[in-house]
Amino acid sequence: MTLEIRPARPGEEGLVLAFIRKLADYEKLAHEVTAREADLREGLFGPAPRCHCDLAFWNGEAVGFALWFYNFSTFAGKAGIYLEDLFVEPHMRGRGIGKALLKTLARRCVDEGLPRLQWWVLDWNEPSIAVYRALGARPMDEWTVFRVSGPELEALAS
Amino acid sequence: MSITIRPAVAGDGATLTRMIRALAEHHGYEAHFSAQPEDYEKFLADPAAINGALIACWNGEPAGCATWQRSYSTFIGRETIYMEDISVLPDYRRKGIGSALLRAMARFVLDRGAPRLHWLLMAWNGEARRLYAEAGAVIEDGNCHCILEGEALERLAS
Repeated sequence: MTLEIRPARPGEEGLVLAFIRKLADYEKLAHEVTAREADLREGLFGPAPRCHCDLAFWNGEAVGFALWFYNFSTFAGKAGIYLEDLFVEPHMRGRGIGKALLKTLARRCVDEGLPRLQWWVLDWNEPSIAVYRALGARPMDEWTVFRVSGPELEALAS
Repeated sequence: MSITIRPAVAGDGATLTRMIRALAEHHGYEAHFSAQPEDYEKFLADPAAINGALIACWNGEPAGCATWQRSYSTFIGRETIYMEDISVLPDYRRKGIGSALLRAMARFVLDRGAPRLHWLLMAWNGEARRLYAEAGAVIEDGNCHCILEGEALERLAS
């Protein structure tokens, strides 16, 4: 049983879009997805990429993804990484695939000197919230936004 | 008495630092503020920066700012703009400068060809909530996430 995580490549935008639709379905927001493959091709692989995507493969089969982009904290005066989407196929959950996707991003933050990895979670999504807390992420006071930084970011990256 | 709004440019780092520190203090978050003017100068000097700011002047004096960064919606497959801060210095409050900055941000977003401006709101900030609702923003109650798009975005920008 092997898990491989690598950046998405041009030509895989259909796979990325399929994951986006599955995530939207899980979030009960499928009706909001209007993106087409061409949009994602432009966003991920166009002349001025707007976002990045890591794909997870279990024994060669694509089973999950993390879509992210750089952001900036005006309070810290530093760039960081914002995780927009994280998804693992339901039948493949419980194998640490989501955690491995998060760890890949945490390692990128540390390697690039970025102090913070941040994402949002829907407030009813208790299973995910429990996983994020266990990883050392903490919800911000009065905001439903999750961040991991400092020692917890280092720990997640290692 | 007039409000003028312009993009922040190289050399505005100290002005932005002063304004965003004032915002941090206003929210009781001064302990989380560590940015230095040079942190801002880095992106102000970079034409391909992922983030930037608008500065509002009252009779020519810098009075407030709005900071933005690139974001991406996988559901619509397009770049969107996230507003990180909107700050008005204490001496210049209640002159309509915050509303003018929000309108200028809406204009900026449309000029970039982006379909959406979004930002977060502190749960306790009822005054800001009213201002944003009047501007046409949809406020998702679960996480105080404000979204301005479509006709409401066009209306505010015009």
